[in-house]
Amino acid sequence: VEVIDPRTVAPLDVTTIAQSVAKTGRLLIVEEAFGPFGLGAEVAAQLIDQGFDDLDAPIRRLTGAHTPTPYSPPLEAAVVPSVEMITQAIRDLVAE
Amino acid sequence: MAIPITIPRLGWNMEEGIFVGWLRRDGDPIQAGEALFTLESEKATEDVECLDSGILRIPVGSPKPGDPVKVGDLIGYLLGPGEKEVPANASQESFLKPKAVKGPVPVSTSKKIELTKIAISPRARRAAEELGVDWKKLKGTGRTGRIREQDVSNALQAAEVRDESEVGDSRITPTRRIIAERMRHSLSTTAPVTLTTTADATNLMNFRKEMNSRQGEKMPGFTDFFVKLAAIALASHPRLNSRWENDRIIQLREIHIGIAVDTEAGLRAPVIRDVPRLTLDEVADRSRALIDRARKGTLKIKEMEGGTFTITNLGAFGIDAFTPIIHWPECAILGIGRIRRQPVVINDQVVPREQVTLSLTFDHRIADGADAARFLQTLVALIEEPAAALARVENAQPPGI
Repeated sequence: VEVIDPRTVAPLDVTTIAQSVAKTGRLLIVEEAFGPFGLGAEVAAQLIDQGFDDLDAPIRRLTGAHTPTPYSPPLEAAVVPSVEMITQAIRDLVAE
Repeated sequence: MAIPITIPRLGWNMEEGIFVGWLRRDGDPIQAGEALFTLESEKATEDVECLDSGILRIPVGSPKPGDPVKVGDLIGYLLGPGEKEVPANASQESFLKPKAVKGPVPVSTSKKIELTKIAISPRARRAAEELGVDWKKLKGTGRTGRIREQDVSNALQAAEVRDESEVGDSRITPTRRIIAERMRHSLSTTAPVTLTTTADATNLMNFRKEMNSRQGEKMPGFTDFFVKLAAIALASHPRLNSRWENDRIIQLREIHIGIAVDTEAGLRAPVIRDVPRLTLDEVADRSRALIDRARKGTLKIKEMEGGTFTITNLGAFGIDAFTPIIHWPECAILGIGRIRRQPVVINDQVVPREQVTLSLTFDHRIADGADAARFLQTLVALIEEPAAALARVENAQPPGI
């Protein structure tokens, strides 16, 4: 498993992501914001463009729930992806 | 109405073939019965004749020479008088998915649908292409049954374990595949037992040498002798001339003997029909012609079907005994070894004699060991006294010309 934390979203360092996908054949995009039409969708679209042949499994996204983020810290934690959710998503993707 | 032209089934178990090429050009007027294109199937290359008349229309996207094709694939159209173009539904798409065409082709249609169902990840597809693995045969382990890269590499590893020295293209030709299927089918359905015995072929060799001085080049080969003698022996042991069909043992009146021929394209077994009715010279003529055509790859399917017994001769390669695989659905196959000079004790004297080992594999479901042994005994006796045996038969049935 490789973790890539892009410094910027524009310009987005797709090359680094594509190199990683070339190694692993998989891409899991994790973001706290909600999924639809978000940054994760853009990353997925660009990666498909550059590294389609490297993919061995569908690109997966793990995003925050599609709801306004609550102010209360416990509620916020329930809405954004947790460490457990991320590890589970990785395991799922590897088995995909 | 345009008539679709589809790939026909040349033999009973043909599923696919290689499109060799069109014999006519786009726009040519075709009469029924004219040869239209050449198709290479499992064991033979044949010119396919046209059943109807019309103007040949070869659309873009029809197979190129050398393309693999499946039975039922649509490859072109015959246009009726006045028709200018192919039907509207005959777009590129119909070349991928055969429409309802004449002739029963449900097998290939269902296969097409299966093919589209096989899912493979882009990465696995690329890997399969690079490694030369036919992924259509793989079983995916992905969650949705998708073929993943590891499935491809596992398949390759499995193949490498089977043959570590594998080099070059591992693409399987239709001939190879059919041989593989036949062999596997034979081994999985029959109960093969091999008996070997040695016959004294000194008289046979002398007899042949005598013929040689009379006939020169056109003298029968050793295999021809064995074909003829085996036919004589089979006539008195009909059990070995039977086949197992639908849970019944069918004893066959006719004796058609196949000869295994080694060709560049793989093993072929052309059949000499009605051997008892042929003289030795006729057997030799037929086998010469058939072997010649087998080597050229121009055997017709029907020349390879319907055998009741097969003879395979590895003597030329210095083999003595082996365990041939029954040419299913026949009952038995006779392997001929090399004829070699060996010391033999006759009347307490050691004398050099020409010895040949016979390896008879028979189907124990149909015949018992004793049946097969008796057949071999008869055959050995015939080989040891060929002149008498042949004279007896040829006198009983006067030769043709």
